[in-house]
Amino acid sequence: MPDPYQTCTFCPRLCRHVCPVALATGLEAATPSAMMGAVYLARRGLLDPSLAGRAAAMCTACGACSRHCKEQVPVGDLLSQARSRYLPPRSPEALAPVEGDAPRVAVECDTRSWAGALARKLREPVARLHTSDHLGASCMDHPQTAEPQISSLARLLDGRIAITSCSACAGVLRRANLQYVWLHSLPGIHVPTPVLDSPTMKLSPAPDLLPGTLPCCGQGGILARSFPQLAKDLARECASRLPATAVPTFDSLFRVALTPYDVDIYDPIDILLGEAPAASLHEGTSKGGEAPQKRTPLHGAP
Amino acid sequence: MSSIERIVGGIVPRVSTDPLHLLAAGRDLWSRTTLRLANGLLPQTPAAICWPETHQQLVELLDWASAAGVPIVPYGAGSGVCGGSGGREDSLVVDTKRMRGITRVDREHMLVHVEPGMLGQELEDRLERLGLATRHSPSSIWCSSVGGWAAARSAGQFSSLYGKFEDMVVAMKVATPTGTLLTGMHSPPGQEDLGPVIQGSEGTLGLITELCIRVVPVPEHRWLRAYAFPDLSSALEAMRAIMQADLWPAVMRLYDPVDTLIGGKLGSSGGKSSGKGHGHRAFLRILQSLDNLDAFRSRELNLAFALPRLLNRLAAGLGGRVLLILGWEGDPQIVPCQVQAAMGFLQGAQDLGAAPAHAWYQHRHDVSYKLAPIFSRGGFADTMEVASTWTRLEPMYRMVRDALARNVVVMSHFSHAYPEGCSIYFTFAGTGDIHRYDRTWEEALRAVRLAGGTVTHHHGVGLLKARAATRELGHALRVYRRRKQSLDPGGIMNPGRLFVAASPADDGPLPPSSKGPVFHLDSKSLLATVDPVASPSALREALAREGYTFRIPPDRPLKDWLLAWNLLAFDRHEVPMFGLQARFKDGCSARIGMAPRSAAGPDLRWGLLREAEPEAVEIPVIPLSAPRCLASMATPEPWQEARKLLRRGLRPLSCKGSSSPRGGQDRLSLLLLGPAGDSLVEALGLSPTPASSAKDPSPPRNPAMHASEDTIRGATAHHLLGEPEDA
Repeated sequence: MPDPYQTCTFCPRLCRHVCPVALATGLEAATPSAMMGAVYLARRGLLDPSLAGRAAAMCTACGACSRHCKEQVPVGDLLSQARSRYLPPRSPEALAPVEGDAPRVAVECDTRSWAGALARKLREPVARLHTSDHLGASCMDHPQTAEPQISSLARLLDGRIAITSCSACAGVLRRANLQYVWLHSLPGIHVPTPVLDSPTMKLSPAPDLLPGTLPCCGQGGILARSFPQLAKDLARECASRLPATAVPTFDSLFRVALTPYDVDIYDPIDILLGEAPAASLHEGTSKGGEAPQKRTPLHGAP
Repeated sequence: MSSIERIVGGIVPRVSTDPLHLLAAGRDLWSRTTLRLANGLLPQTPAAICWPETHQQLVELLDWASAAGVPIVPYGAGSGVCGGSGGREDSLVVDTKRMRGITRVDREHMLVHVEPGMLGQELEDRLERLGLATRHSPSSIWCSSVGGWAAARSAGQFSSLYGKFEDMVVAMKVATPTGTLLTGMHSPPGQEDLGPVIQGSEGTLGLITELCIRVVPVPEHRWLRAYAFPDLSSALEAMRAIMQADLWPAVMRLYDPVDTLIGGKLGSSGGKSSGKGHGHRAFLRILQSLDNLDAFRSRELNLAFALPRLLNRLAAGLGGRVLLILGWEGDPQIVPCQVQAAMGFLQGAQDLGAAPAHAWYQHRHDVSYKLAPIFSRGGFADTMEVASTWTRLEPMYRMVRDALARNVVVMSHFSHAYPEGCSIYFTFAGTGDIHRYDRTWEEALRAVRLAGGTVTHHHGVGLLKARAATRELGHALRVYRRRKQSLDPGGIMNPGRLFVAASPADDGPLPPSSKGPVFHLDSKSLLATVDPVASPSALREALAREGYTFRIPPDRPLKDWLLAWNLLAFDRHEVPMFGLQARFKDGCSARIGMAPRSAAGPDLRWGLLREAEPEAVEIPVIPLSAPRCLASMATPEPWQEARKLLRRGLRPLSCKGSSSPRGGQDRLSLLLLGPAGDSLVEALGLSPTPASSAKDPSPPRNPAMHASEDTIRGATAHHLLGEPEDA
């Protein structure tokens, strides 16, 4: 296998049209080929390594490029490796204690009470794990910061099933090889991953990404930390591509990022509880003057 | 913050001198740059890069740059393969990718307004959700931008039905250093439409900020099939016959013997060499493995690329059969008629079924993945797309292939076919340094010139072919330079690219020596070189003596008729003027249009017609013996019916609406050319008219500009025909 960084450098940028960051920002430097190219040049001593690290920090590791690539180059992983080599480690926030003893733990990465909502839905107690930095999602590149965080998380959860609605948090749980359920109720943004179905929780099958939408909002990982403006571009692009103006979201960062763009947001907890008022799914006008598609009932809602 | 960043930042919202962005904008996909990079040589980087978001920002930016003398390098998706983009040290790169919206969808006229920075695949995806498509599908569709398609005269894989991208563009908005320019149907009345000069100008005249393009409904039906022919010549004859029979295939790709062998496209019996020596078997094995990406990493291939002469000599010994992929798409009633009629031209071919053709369709963009492994192994790979008339095509194929084969391993396919000619796409790979790469191109381009073709059909010029394109256009470049002086007097737009400053070595071609009014008849390409001032009747008689007639009959001498021709009346398949030879006042002359749809810079024929005295015009003709079919239908709304039929994909040579003076029913009359005519009439429920009525087609009219006229032609009306007041 040739050097994958080299492969991407010489590739005619065949995945640029699926990369959410490249599409949303319009930056040539944000194409997967350019990011990988910067690393390739740094490895050859032709480019300042700090530039390669910055280039790699534009990747959200959503995996869209790898899924498209006939060579199946694992771009997200390789750029993570590059960040660990060229960027200084970043320490995660200290993990808060889990509140409650219940076997299921709601990961709350925003200000809403997911644990309470789930408890009402499941008619049983649900514990709460609050995190202000998506379980340290942006600190996973370096083994010296990732491994202690993973160990702490494993100790904290202690065999319990985590429930998250956020792709960044789900990514950390996946990386830590912990049992989790991803509520994946953002079919217009995140690419669904296989969902661990617990014996007592039967959730809807993972939906496909809606046509024309982007696979990542980029709000939970390294991009938002390193390039806030680009992350904002990405959020805006996500919003513009959703098929209706009603955007269910639970990620407060994403919510904040969307606020300036006149997009109606309602709480997906309502959907989860089967209480989403139909009236809130109103239609609006999308770009280009075409009538927007009527939003279908959300996947993931019981 | 640098001064350029500060100043540009006052005009455009985003500007950067970050080395990361400058590095990324430093190159396009020219293989020479990639080869240099593989050898550790970084591309030049610009002084700054900016991302305008509106047309007005660009106008202000170019105004400032013109006054300040700052070179501007336009940058779309950087997918050009000729070095047409990419920063130079003192330049400001203008990246259009933050101008990427679909600003208007006009279903009434099947037009879409789109901004230049949108990626091709994104445009098709968005249109598909509206039930629409451009069907412009270059192999770069994943990584190229709409603005770049127009700037470099791109062609897609379905061009024989839908045309090149230049055929789809009906209007553009352009920011130039001297202000805003509108082209096509938006060009100011009474002024020259500069659309043909902007397309193909590769950012040297201005920046396209909005395009209005034709779209079609997403095809309902698709028919694909593969055929094996005993040799290249017989397959090319079949292609020519189909294209000249008005059958409009969407896909027509013929692979030469070497390309046919790759991946075992014809199965185990593909080559004639089975049973030959060890060298042939090894060669066959190498070729047949090339469909597999892994093969590009094998040591065997390294050796093969290092010994191109040997490999090419073995390939020449193969002779061998060739693969033709054919496809039609569109209306489920029209497509079967076209397919059935085409069968008559495939008698000598072996039907390989649908599977190989569908395999091509499914994987039609995958070939680009093979480039990176070659560069990774220290080699280089590149492509060269040339074109010529049918008469010169096969000789040109052999000359260019032989020129390339001296330096690299070469294979090719023929695609982008027209009634008058076709394009050849050479793919080559080799080992060696930049000097070998340059020598390969130099010798191949010389062969194209000697063979009488154009040096580029759809990749454009850039730096790679600037000298060759300059030579090809000769004194006709005066037309471009005059417009350049007018639009970009400071010469800031993409300097150094497209053309070089050299002047032609001679005064240009001599006047036609043969007796007119028909100077020359190329019966194979269905082209007649005629006297531009002869009367139509004299021309008609002279052509009839040779057994031909006009495809598009003029109603006055050609010179006047062509000058009055409105470019919007262009049907993508109806070309009133193929080539032109004209003489300037100082005695120098130029001849352009030696190949269909050249991308060697802009289309300068129309400007040359205005600025120099035409001596000979090359026009399309049809044999008097060509089957034709006149049909009609009684309908209270002839134009509505015409529009429906045209939108379904019917391509009549002409259609005519007539109203009954005595209160009878109005009628729509259609003239269909080619062997599919009768079956189309039957399938569409039209009434056939006796053959004696099927005379020459009526003169064409421009439906958009002359709504009161009663004759329209082909697909132009499909998009532009509104509701004529007298319909």
